[in-house]
Amino acid sequence: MTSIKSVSLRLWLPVLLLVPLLAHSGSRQATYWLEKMTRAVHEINYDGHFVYLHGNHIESLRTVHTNHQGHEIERLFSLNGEAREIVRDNESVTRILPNDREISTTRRLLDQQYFSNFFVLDIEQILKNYQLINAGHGRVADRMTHVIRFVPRDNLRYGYRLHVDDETALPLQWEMFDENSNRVSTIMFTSISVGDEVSDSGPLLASSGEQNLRKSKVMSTAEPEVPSLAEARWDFSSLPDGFVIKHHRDGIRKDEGRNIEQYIFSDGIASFSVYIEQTDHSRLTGSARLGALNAFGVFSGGYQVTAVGEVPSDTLAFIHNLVKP
Amino acid sequence: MSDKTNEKISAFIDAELKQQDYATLADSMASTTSRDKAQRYLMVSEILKGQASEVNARNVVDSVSRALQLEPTVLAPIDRKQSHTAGWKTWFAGGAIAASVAMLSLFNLGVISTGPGQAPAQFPGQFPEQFPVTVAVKPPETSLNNPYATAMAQPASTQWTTAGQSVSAAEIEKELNRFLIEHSEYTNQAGMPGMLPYATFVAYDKY
Repeated sequence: MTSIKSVSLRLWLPVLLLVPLLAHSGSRQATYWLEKMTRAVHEINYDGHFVYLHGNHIESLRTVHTNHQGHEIERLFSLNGEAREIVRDNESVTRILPNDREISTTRRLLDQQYFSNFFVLDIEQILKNYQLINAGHGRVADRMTHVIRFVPRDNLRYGYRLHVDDETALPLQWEMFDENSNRVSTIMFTSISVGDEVSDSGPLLASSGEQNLRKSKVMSTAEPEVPSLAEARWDFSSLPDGFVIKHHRDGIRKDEGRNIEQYIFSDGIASFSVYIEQTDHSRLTGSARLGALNAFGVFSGGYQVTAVGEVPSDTLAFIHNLVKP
Repeated sequence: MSDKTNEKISAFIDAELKQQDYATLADSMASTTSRDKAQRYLMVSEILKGQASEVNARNVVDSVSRALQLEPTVLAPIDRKQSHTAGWKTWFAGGAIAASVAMLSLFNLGVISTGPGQAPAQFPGQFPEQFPVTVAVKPPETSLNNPYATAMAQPASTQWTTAGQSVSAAEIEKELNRFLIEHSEYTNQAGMPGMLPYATFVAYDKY
């Protein structure tokens, strides 16, 4: 006798088989858009205004990006509050501040030849930690967008939603959601001009009426170093799943008579830093929060260990075990 | 408009609409006739409950209509154990939509019921639609019904907080901000491309 169950299964089998195929197709489509976006942010000239919402704060910013024959200049300028500007070119990231605040330039840590790979998203790593979902279409800054959701595969990271411009593949909206799906921060373009008519016209800060910009001060940075965690002095065995070390710096604040180590970890999207300092007095112990950012501090064995990043507080708590007895 | 649609509108207003009927009702609500009907039903419902007021039912109906068409956006981590169960999925979709609708209704009613002489709170009606619907699944709180209330009621905090208490020591706060800036300077190599990551850098740099 052909049971009802088997008939039902026959009817549903094509559908059941189709579901993973569709999901895979959606993921592939999302991956395609991410790869396209990675190229677009470097190749396309654009000038846009966007807002950044985090916690109870709203920031308004303008960004101008130009690429002339491979020479990229990108400016980010705050439109409210104290004027601040970030300038990135092929060689450096410069922070410009007005009046009595100093300008600092941080040299790139990678060789010039690797520049084109500097901002490449590690899709493979992202897929290990997030499920990419092709979430249809939207509209941002009066432009049609393709929507991609990054659903975390565990509770160690936040979720994200990305709007990519249908026409240019530029990222137009980027939202971060906490473990309860509460939106904790949003970056959203409100207007954007795209094309060869966009050109770099020098510091935006200077054109805003700020005249007293101080001369730049070059901060020398350590040579690039990505150490093997197994050889590190610290116990990273309880590092949260999916995070890998991206960078290590030593000797931070030497000019202040301090010596702080910094380890930077990333899961392909989210990142956090761990700072370790030998000291005789503790600073932060426990957790702290600022908008979407979390910090976690431990004082152990004569070391102050502090972790900071846009990840859940629990993710940072592994630093409890960092200092080897 | 069919009797079935009328029944669904009525069931919806009484919070008795089945989850599987949301989609068809959403389609029906696109017509002016249905919306007018829903408006009248809502008014009747309010009167029966003794809550008749200067309710702008049109706004509510519009909100409801939009909410019904809103695709639930779930960005919480996937619970692999539960994600395979149809029951969980059904509960979530239904609960989320209902909660979203409830939030929108309260949202609009909150504005409308403001008494004479009181300035109505300024809520852009389209904004809650962009919230992930799971927000409203939480127990109703003022800040959820009106996501701007907290921001308006409290001065903008630029301080780190620990379990509800500000990290009072200026030294700690300064230290965390410096760590944050140093972190932001180097994290662009590992995350979103372009200048978007620097937005956080610029924003926090002033604190």
